[in-house]
Amino acid sequence: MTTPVLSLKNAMLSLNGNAGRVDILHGISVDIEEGQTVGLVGPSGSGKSSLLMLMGGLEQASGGTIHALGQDLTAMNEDALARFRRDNMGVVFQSFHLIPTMTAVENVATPLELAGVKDAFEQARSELSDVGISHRADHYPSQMSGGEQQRVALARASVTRPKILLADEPTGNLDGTNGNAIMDLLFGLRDKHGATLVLVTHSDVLAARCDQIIRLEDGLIAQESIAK
Amino acid sequence: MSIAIAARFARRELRGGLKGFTILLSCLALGVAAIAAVGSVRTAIETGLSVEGAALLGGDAELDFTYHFANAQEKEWMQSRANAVSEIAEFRSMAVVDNGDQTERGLTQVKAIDDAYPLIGTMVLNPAMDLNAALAAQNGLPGAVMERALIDRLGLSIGDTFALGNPTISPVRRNLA
Repeated sequence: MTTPVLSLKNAMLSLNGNAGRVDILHGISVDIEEGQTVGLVGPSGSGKSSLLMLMGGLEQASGGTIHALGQDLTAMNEDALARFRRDNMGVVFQSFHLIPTMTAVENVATPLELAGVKDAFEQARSELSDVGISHRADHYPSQMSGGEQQRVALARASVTRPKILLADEPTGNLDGTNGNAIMDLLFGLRDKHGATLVLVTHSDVLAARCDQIIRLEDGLIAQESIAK
Repeated sequence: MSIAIAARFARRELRGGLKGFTILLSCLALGVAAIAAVGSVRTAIETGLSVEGAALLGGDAELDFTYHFANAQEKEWMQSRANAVSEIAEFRSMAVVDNGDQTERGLTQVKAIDDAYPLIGTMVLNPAMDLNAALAAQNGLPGAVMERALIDRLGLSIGDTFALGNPTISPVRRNLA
């Protein structure tokens, strides 16, 4: 029996704000095996994105444990989490989050530069070519369409060959045509490099492309199913 | 992160221009301007005091005694060291004007002077008149000169009377100040 790539045991998330304490996740336990594609679905406010943030160490769990690649994320400080993400994870957000003062190739090269890779720019240009946007390599985000920006974001997430790819509604800001193209690219990159993919989506059609579907309701897993 | 990478990222960030620094630069400019203004005012005050200090004081130096006059020994000490000595007394009092149907009051600082005052400079009054003449008694009441702001506030005119505490003093003279 192999060790799951991601393993959550009774993971909880509560946030304290001006309006008081809000309990978002009430105890999530799930194992995700290496190479799996997992779709997180559910209504708005059910905790999909929050669960993804916990998996990526971008939110600190209020309780329970979260292991990624055998390491306990809940025991790491911010610096250790940042290094872990740099070495093992790629994250794609709904609103791209490209650095506006950097060109496309610089955005993609950034994680490689931070990891000390010498030919960061050559690899970044190659990755941009893989997502079909090499002609935009020297353009700034403001000079690109939403679909093009998300392709750059995809290239940035996959250029380090992460073992885990996390995607939070990557097509949420795109029209249907661009959205489908981005999903084809995302699954293509996953197939090409063999990463474990966790995808948050509202679309049952997109979720159906995944190996496993986890449906959340009110901060709890309501249903787990095999999609194909 | 190495210095080289940090410098490279910083250089890229600077492409965004100085727009992001507008508030910071404004605060810096405002702070520098405020400090410069305070410095200018301080310099102006110090210069004014050094140039006009003697005239403002009415002498080169002042010795202050709280709640008592200088005794004979103290006066002798001062006179042995000064070319001239003037003795004044200052105290707070309430200036009162009784208009019959209503009474105007104003807290004021009273300065009682001797014939030698001021040792340096001259007291200029409006309308122009000799200080001794302004302070001379008329109709059995001692004279006084008063700052224009207090004259206007109490609704007085030259020749009117007002009270300091119990005694009534007349007439009022205007101090050009």
